[in-house]
Formats: sequence, structure tokens, C-alpha cells
Amino acid sequence: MLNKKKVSPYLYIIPAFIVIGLIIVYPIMYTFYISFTNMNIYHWFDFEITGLSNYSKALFVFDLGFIKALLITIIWTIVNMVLQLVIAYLIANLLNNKLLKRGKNIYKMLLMVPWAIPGYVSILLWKNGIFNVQFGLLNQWLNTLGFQSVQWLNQPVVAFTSMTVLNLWLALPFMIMIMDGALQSIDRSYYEVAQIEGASKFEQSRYITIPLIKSVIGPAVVITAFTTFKQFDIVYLLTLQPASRTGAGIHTIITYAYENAFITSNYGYSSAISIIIFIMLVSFTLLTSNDFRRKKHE
Amino acid sequence: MKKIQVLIMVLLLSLFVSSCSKKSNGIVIWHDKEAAVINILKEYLNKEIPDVEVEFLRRESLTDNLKLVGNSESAAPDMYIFAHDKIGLFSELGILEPITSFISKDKLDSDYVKLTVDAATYKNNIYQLPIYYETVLFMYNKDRMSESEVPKTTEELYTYMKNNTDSRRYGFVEQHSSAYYSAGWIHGFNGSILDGSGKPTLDNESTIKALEYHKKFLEYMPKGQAEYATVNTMFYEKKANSIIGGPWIVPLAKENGIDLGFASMPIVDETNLPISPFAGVQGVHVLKIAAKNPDKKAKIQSIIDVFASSDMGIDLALETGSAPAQSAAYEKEEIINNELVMAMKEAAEKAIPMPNLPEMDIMWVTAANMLVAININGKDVKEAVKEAQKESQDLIDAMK
Amino acid sequence: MSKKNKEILIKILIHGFFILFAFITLIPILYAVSVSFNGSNSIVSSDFSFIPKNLTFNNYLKVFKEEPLLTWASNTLILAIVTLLVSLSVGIPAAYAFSRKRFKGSKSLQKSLILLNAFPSILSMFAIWYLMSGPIPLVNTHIGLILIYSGTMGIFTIINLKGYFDTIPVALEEAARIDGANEFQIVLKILLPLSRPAIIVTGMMIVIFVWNEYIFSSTFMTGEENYTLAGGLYGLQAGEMSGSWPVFAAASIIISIPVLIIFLKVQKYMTSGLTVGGVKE
Repeated sequence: MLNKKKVSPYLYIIPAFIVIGLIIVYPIMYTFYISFTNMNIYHWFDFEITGLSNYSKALFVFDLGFIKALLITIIWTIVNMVLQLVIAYLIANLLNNKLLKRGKNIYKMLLMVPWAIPGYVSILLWKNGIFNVQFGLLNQWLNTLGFQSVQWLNQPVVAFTSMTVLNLWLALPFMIMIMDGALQSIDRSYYEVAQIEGASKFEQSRYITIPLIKSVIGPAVVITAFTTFKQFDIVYLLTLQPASRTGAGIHTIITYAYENAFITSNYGYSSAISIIIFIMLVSFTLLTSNDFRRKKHE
Repeated sequence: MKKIQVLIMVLLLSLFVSSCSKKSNGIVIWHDKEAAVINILKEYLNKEIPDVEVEFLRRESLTDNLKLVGNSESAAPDMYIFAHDKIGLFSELGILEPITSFISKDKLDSDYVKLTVDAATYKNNIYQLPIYYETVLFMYNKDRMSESEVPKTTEELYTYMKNNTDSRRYGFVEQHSSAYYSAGWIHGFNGSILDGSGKPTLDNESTIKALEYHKKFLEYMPKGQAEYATVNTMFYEKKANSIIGGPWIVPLAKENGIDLGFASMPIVDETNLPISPFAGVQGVHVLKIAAKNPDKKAKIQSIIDVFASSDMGIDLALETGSAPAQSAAYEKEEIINNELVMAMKEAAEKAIPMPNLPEMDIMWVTAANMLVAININGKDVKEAVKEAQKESQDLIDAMK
Repeated sequence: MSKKNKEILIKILIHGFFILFAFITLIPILYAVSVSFNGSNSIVSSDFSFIPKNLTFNNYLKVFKEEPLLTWASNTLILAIVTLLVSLSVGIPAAYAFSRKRFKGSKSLQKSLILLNAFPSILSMFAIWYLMSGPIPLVNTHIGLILIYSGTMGIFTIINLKGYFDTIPVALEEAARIDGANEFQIVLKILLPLSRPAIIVTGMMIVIFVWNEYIFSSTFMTGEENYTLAGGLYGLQAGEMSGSWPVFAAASIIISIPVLIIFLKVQKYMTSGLTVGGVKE
């Protein structure tokens, strides 16, 4: 009886870990291995181990430009996560309002539409149809109202705002769905009791809903935070494609790494940079989560 | 429950069926061209060598895919059709077979337009069988610009733009901040982006002069945006009277009811050289791993022989509006009578093939960076050039 | 204002809000729809109107006639369904173990799952290619891609389900255990039904991911018979020199519709067993 208990938890997780091991862990290890070789276009299939030379070379990439990109990425992540959480929470609550009986499912479906379209298609649509200075919808409407056209993607602050709006448009459906699912996990009886005791809607939110959904939305929030941090597509497709650059001067750490390393097709070098970024992110996450835990216990 | 079990069985079965990989004895050719072009190739192959099985596969990220599979016997294609500018990259990767294994250098030199053979050459080996080539032309809306108004020099162009541009219409538009289009101006001053040895030449006197000179033209072009969708659409909607563009503009211009005229590129007053843009040569390449297989090698040889026929080149050129790579084509009536093709030939004679060096991969990005800084963000030319030159050199050094 | 009137006012406001919000959200889509019905090949136009001047169904007809939609769709369906089954089959036990069982390394394994997300996986293609062309050749097979997709979605599946499992009172399972139920039955008959919302969210995430994934599928499916919807769509992309924006827009819309239908159908299962039927402590 006792033996059975000891072995079985691992059996439960082994299949999942094999799959994840192959597809997620192995590439990390492989990239780590390549970072010590001279794999580049001159030694594509016949590369050999060259030690730490890629790492010493890589340190040059982490210059002022990188720090600037890092700051922008951090601000980008914080702004987007805060907005996503707040907006998704409000909308999920409204959707679950008991006064909204009919149309709830239709509204939900309509709000999910951005999620159903492949990401790069949406970004292209926004770039050409909405943000385009000459022909985009935004400027066409502004012009009809008598205002001057705005260059939505050419200056850092405006471009950042445009990218944020687009990111929210793309990411909110998922977050709303997560919030909606989380709200389902709360036992109605809590609210009934609170109502009887005279708590306002706001207080109910603060003391019942939010604490209870924290653990449910936690995973999604964390993964979304990482995805937001590693953002490449939006910044690249909107402002950095060589034939359609807009001069916005915004870089996230991944686009910076791309334009300052990955385009050399020097994979040993690029791998070293990837590993360094990885270690940075992991350390940062561990440090801040430990900080959190310490503060909680105080 | 039973239904679900049946469904799962069916799915697993279909998985197994698809897993049995088809071993085709034929030749696989990757490309990134339109169906119309491929159909012509298929037609000629069917006519001349119907016994050889050839499969054409369109791959959207052909370059990236080849980087991955170039060496793999099971997944790599045998040949591919693409522009010439990646030859350097693939040659260094070691996946290309010199085309001279299938057609003699003498024949190439004698039958083909020199520009195309040069474009196909990297480190003294020829890696591509050219089929057709193209560049960009000065195109204009005949309803808005009369033949006498067509600018012969860049100063004339500037004057034209000044007199014909207002808040609703532009005299001339171009993708001013793309390296591909900007190269035309740079070459017009005898400058360049990359030299033959792989060294960036952004900080050459001539390049700087070109960029400084070009700045004034920006005043009369749309602000803030210069990618193809905006620029070309302005022309199609008759909001711009003239444009620099390639053969792809022709069908769409026609669709929009524009009476299209072609003209030689304006000449730069200072140097007496025309704006000489980049030219791209489209052709077929052979992968080393396919050439190693004797059975495949024979089949590839027969395909190359078909592709080397000038008739096919003519049909393709007429279809795409580009210039055939074979000199003999220019004695044929259909070609001589085709205004676009002849304009293309003339322009391409003055054009410069895109560098096929691997270092060019970097230059596309750094040059675009520099152009945007100068043209859109108004940075000082000398500063921007200095930065871009350093950036390019650093990245190129990092390639090794 | 009487309570009833107040309720009606709030109802109107909420409906109004959603209609407005939904409309704003859909503007880019409406733009795409307009482009897809446009007879002239352009994505931008200076006198754009939502109902194009040159209205035509040709683009849609072109997609249906010229592209092997059926092949693409059946490939995508196979990939989506099997990836879903595989992901849930390996993910649910793992989430269950993390949630309900105490064992050595449980916490650190969970933490590492999350930290694995910090890796910028742009360069992973090489490693995965190496894997797929290794001892068992998995290139151009459905199984290979399913493996890739399941691995990619694995972390999210596990930690999302685990998070939800945590909110379900263990008391219910203990009661069932006393009644003689074994682990499998407990999970199947008690835990899963109560976790419906989480399973649906996870499932939708997996399906949408597979449906729209084009990078892996266009790299690893080297045979035309294996192209997926997303891969095929990627090939239809218009550039300066070729391609048609309206056809691309039409194809994008055609491809997105099935996902929306699935979503609509699945909506009614989104309420958890906890609140329906009232499981009260």
C-alpha cells in the first residue's frame, strides 16, 4: 500500500514531462550546446566547439541600446498587463451580470473574434487599414472631422501607444475568457451571504472575487506576462520590416537581439545571446517572486 | 462512447497513412513564383521531357527552409527557382552545386546577357541558370504627364514635382526609404551599398552625396510612410503622376485604367549617370545533395537543357514583363515589339545586379535603418551614415 | 427610481456598452471583410468605404476553386483534434498530481515549468528540426507536428488546469473515495465535470493555436498533401510583386469562421458545476 503511494505521483507527470522535455527543454539544451560552437554560415554543417568566444562577443550586444530596449520592454509589459487585467476583469464581470441574460453568448463570441484570426494577419490589417498615414481608417476619420492626419507609427510615444492598443486588441479575448472561467469557480453562496450582510458591489469584488480568482488566473497571467515580454511580431511587423520601416525607434529586447545579432545568421553567437537573455529573465523572475514572498510574510 | 472510439480509430489510422512517406522518384523543385510562371515551366517540361517526373512546390519562406533542410537527403528539394541574391549565402552553407556541372561556362558566356551571368557568379563559380531578369523603371500616367514633360534629369524631376504637387496630388512618388529603391539614387552618384569584397560602402563620398542630394525630393512626397502599399496605391488611384516601379505595376495600373508610359531613368545632373537601380535575376539552382545522386543528376541535366531553351525564356518574359536572360531572345519579333520588355532590357543594362554576397543580408537592414533615420526622422546625413557604416561593419564582422 | 426601472436602465447600459465595444473590436475585421469583397487588388484606398465600390464574390470563389481548402482543412482538423486529445491526456494527470498529491520536487517542478517560458524560442527551430529528422523521421508527418504542438501547449495546459483544480474542494473526492471509487473514476466523474470552464478555456487555447499555427507547419510539412489551413494562408500572402490582398483577406475570413462556430457552440458549457446545481459546503 505504501509503495504504491510513493511511485504513482511521478507516473502521472512522466508522459507530460517527456513531451515537454522534447519540445521545450531539448531546444534550450541544444541552443546552449550551439552557443559554444562556431556554427555560422561559414561552418554551417561542420561546426566545432570553440569555447566561450561567443559569450565574450555577445557581451558587446548588451550595450546602451540594449538597456534602452530592456527598459522599453519592461514598461511595455507592465502597461499591457495592467490594462489587460483591469479591462478583462471589468468586462468579465459585466458579462456575468445577472441582468444580462440574452445576448451574453453572442457578445462573448464577438469579443473573441480577434483571437480567431491569425496574429500576423491582424497586425498587417492594422498596419495598412488602420494606422496607415495616407489611407488608414483612423486618419480618414480624423480628416472627415476636420483634424490633421496623425503619424501613428513614426514617433516613439505615439508608436508605443498604437502598439499597445493593437496588443490589447489581440490579447484581451484570451484574458476575458480566462477571467470569465475564473468567475465561474466562485461559489455563488459567498455573494449571497455578502449581499445579506450589506456589502456593496465594490466591496464584494475586493474581498470575495479578487482573492478567489487569483490562483485561477495566476497561470494565465504569468504566461501572458512572459509572452508580452518576449514580444516580437507586433513591434517588428508594424515598424521594423526593412521595406516598410517607420522610424519609430522602439525595440523590445527580442527585436533588438534580432537586429543586432540574429540577422548575422551566426548561430553560435545568437545562441549565446539567447542563453544570456534566458538567464537574465529567469534570475529576474526568481528575484522578484522571492521579494514578493518575503513581503507577504512580513 | 463507441462513437468516440471509432472516431479515434479513424484519426489514428489516417495518421499512420500520412506517416508512410511517399518516395517519389521524381525531381522536386521549390520556388516562390506565381502559378502563371510555373505553368509555363511545366508546359515546356511536359513537351520536351514527359518521362521525367517533376514536382513544383511553392515555399513561402524558401530561404529559411533551405537553411534548415539544405543538407537532408529526405527533405531537401533537388532544385529551386529564386532570385540570384542568395547565392553567396547558400554557397557558403555548402549546399549549392555549381551550375557548370550541367551547362558549360562557354555556353553561358555566349548565350546569356552578361549581367545575368555576373549575377550568378560567386567566388568564381556560377551557381544559377538565369531565366529572366527585372529591374524598376520610371513609369508615368500618360494622362497626367505628357511625353514632353517626362523628366530627363533629376533636376527636371525636382522642378516637375515642385510644380505638380499639392495637398491632394503628387508629381512623383517612390519607396524612398527602402534600400532596394534608394540604391538607384546611390548608384546614380557612383556610390554603392556594399563593395565586391563584402565591405560596406555607406560612408563613401558618393553615397553621402547621393543621400544629401535626395533629401530635397522628400519635401514633395507623402510624409511618414513610403512602403509599397501606400506608394503604389497613390499611383493606381491617380493621386501620383509618376512612380519608380517594376513590371508588377503594369497589370494593376491597367486594371485601374491608367495609360501607362515607361521612360528611361532620369540622369543625375552632377554625374551624368542615370538613376541605376538594383536588378534581380530569376533562375534555377541545383542542390549539391541532389547532384550527388547519379539517377537524379541525369534527370536534372535534362531539366536544365529544357530551361536553357530560349523559347521558354521568351514566353516567361512576356508573361511577367521582365527581360529574358538569353541574348538570342532579343532578335525575336515578339520581344522587340513588347514595349515593357524592351524598356526593361534597356533599364537593366544600366542596372546593377543585387550583390549576391552573404554580407548583403545585413546591409538590407542597416541601410534601411539609415534611410529611415535620414528621410523620416530628419537625422543629419553624415552622422547617420557614420553610424550605419559602423553598425554594418560590426554586424558583418560578427558573421564570422 | 423604482428597483425595476433601475434594473432596466442598467440592462440598457450594459447592452449598449457591449454593442459599442463589440463594434469597435470588429472594425478591423469589417475592414478585412470589405477588402475581401473588393474587386480591385489593393489593401488601402483613399476613398475606402465599408461596402466596396467594386463589390464582388470573386475573391471567395477564387479561394474555393483554386486552393485545396479541403486538404488543408482536413489536415488542420486532424492536427487540432489529436493535439487536443494528446495534450489533455498528458496534461490532466500531471495537473491532478500537482494539485492533489504531495511529492518531492512538486513545487520546484512547477516553478521550472513556469520559468521555461522565459526562453526566447526564436532559435528553437534548429533543435526541433534536428529532433524531427533524427532516429525516427518525423518530418512531413502529422505525428511529428502533433508532438511539437502538444509540447508547446503542455506547460500552459498543466498549470492552467492545476490552478483550477486547486479551487475545487477536496472533500468531494474524499467522500467518493470512502464510497470505494478509484483515482480514475474520481478524476473522470467528479473533478473533470467540475472543471469544465478551465478545460474549455484550455481546449480553445490549444485548438486556436493549432488552427492558426503556420511557422512549424510550413517548415515541417514539406509535401503539398500535408499543408494546413494556416500554412496555405501564409502562402497566399500578398507582397509588392505578387499576390492578391482581397483573396488573402477572403481566405483569412474563411479560415477563421470554423473557430468562431466552435466557440459559440462551446459557450453553454462554460458554467462550472460548482455554481450550477449548488454544491454547498
